[in-house]
Amino acid sequence: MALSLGGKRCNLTNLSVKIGKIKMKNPVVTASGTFNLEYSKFFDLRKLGAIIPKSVTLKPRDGNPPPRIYETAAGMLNAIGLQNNGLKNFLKELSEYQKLNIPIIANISGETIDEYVELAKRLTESKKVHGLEINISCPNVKKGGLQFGTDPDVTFEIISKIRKSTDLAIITKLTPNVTDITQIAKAAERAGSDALSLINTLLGTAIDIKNRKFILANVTGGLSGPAIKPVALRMVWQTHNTVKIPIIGMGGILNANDAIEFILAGATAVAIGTSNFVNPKVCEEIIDGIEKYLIENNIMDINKLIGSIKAS
Amino acid sequence: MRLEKTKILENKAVFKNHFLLTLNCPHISKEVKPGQFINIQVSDGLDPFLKRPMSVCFSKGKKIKIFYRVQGKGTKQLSKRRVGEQLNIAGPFGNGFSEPKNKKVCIVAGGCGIAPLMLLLPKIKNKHSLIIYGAKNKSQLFGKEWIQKIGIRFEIATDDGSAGEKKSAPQVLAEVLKKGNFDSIITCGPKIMMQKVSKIASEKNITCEVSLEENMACGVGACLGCVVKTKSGFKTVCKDGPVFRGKEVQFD
Repeated sequence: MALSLGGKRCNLTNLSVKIGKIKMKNPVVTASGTFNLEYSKFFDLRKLGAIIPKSVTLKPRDGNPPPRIYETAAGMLNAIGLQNNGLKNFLKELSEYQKLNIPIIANISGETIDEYVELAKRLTESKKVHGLEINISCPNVKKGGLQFGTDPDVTFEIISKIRKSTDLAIITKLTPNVTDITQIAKAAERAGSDALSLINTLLGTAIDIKNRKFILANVTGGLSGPAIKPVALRMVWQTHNTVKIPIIGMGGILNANDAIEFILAGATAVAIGTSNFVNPKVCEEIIDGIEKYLIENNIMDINKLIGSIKAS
Repeated sequence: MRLEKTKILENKAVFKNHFLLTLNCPHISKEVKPGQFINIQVSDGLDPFLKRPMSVCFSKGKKIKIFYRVQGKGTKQLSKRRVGEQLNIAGPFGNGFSEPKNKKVCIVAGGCGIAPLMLLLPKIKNKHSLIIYGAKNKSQLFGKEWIQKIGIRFEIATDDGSAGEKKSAPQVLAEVLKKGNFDSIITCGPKIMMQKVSKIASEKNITCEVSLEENMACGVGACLGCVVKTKSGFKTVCKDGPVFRGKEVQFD
């Protein structure tokens, strides 16, 4: 932010952060699968730190049959199943995103390790994205996704292979559906991941007692929203204490206060997902709110705040 | 499309479990088209969490009206909101109905499916058009007097015969089509009803538009949660719809 004092521009605070090679003017990013360009009707999307569009797979995917979503206490379940138009169409659609002039991070999903590598290669060659978020944590697909991200050895193998095929920033998206997320985090770091993003959704379900059926057609789905924030925050903090690479923290962030909690716990950036549904302006409000917090607390640079939680 | 802080002007029960909400919302009132909906934040806290999508049944000047049935947590909460309170809404969303222009149209409404169709009725120019409105009984015929004043042929049907014919709306449609034809059929109501109407229209080779509803999260086509199966794959009810060609929709 810059303030004009007697005609001279003066920077009050620095909000810019780096995730690997990706420079962001602020730490606020949109989470994969929760955002599209329609939101430009609610705020200027060029304000965002970065954008992570819906996960892309090599071939088009139909996704899961409905019902795909269900509201829960302070949250929701989703079992979308990675519906998307495939890589070819994704590359075409990127031109609209490129007009925003902000970093674009492609979230990639595959059923096999080779698919992840192929996606990484072709996205790198396209020169249309600034980073890759590796989705080895989707709980709503039969092959790939969660299966890979719950195993440190498989995680190491995938990330190593992707590392060899790209010089783009690699961000590994971690699942919370594990006993010890730091094991997966360490494996990704060792394999060459530039950063980590966590958490993906928590595996959950819901039941219709009137018809005695599962509510979601997929039976299980991923839980997101404010309900999961305490888990996400704890995992960010644990991971921050384990690895040296930067973290994009996410999970139930509703406002700037929540975002600051994640930054204090060790996140360099934050991703906002489900909250966009409840308040389409939330990303803009969080950027403004973080800035306000820094000014009120006389903190000149957001980087000083990262992981600065005081030990009790 | 925008976020608007609106004020509740009225929120009254029109018959058992059914309410009419009047909001002062100048911007959305100007923008909204027939068949579109708005996303309403029904409570100030986290419960319920998501906004609720509801079609607009009336819009004039700075006011819009929403006709809704209490069927779950969100609508129950909404029914308790009082005059003078603020309600945050987003919208208008969705594609809306095709403009009737000079077409001879047949509107088929079932129960509270009359809601989005009400905004369309004043746009019907061809007076040989027809409105078929089916409901459980005569007390559930919302806006009957208002519809009669539009000046288009109006047939009522009730399940118990307490008003109009003791038939279902699709049955009335089938009979009407034996005597005459229409350029298009536009319908909204229970899914089973719309499926029947769509089938009848298809058999007579008449274009049919249906207005669907689904549980929603984002309302703007981002989350892909509210999809319906169509002949061209899964489509979002919030952005690709809520209005679809009947033939496109795979109802089963």
